[in-house]
Amino acid sequence: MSESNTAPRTPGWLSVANPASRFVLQGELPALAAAASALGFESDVGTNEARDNGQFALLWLGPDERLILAWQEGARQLAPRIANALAGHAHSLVDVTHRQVSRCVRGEGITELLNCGCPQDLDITQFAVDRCSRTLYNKAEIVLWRRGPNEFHVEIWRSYADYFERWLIEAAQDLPVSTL
Amino acid sequence: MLLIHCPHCGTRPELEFSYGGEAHIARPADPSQVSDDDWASYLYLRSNTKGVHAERWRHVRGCGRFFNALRDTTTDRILVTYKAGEKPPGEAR
Ligand SMILES: [Zn+2]
Repeated sequence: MSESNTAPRTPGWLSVANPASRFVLQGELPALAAAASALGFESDVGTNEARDNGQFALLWLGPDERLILAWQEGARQLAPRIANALAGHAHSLVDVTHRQVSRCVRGEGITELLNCGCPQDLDITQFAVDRCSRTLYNKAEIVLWRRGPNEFHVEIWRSYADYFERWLIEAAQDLPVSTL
Repeated sequence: MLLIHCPHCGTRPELEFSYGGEAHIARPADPSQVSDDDWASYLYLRSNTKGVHAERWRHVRGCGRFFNALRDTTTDRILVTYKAGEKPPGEAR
């Protein structure tokens, strides 16, 4: 391997934010509400909304689809718990823990940097804190969740993570991000 | 870039969508009773409209749902979008 093939040094505004486990849940609204309550949320999330109660994050992916992130609890403990709450509801619950990885991008100018590859309007007036969306970063599908005015959580399929990071780092040469 | 209004999520960039062909084409209820010509026409023949065309789109890099749009094929302007299963707005067209 030549020197040029090694990944560029990870900048301060980019970090790993992997939860202990991840699930995709699909079903009708009563099933989604039952799962939300089993995870300790007062209600299901609305369109393009994400919520975090410290233990779990619940992200809206589509009218019938949610992404569940468990910060501490592994899939082996969590899966039966959600499945119990969903007994009697038609649903699909898929463990996607190892399909994707999570990144936290955080810093002054991070919105403009993400907009180098994401076609959605990420201005805070259009994409508020705790808004989430499945979208694209250039050619790679991502799930984007705004955690603060200058902070985003990104879910990306494992094999695209390197592509995503290299694109961001390249783009940051023209649009410097100052680490918060 | 074109903006397309997803009936579930709102207005999003065209890049998040994929095209799904002409809308409102009903699959024959009992294919074994259909003649080869009728089956071929169900599979392959489309209206190729010049003007307002009802077509399927999928918000594939978003909510994942299929929906329908009325698009003017001469101007590429999308006039209206509506959920799958609904009739086109202003049926009279
Ligand atoms: Zn949508």
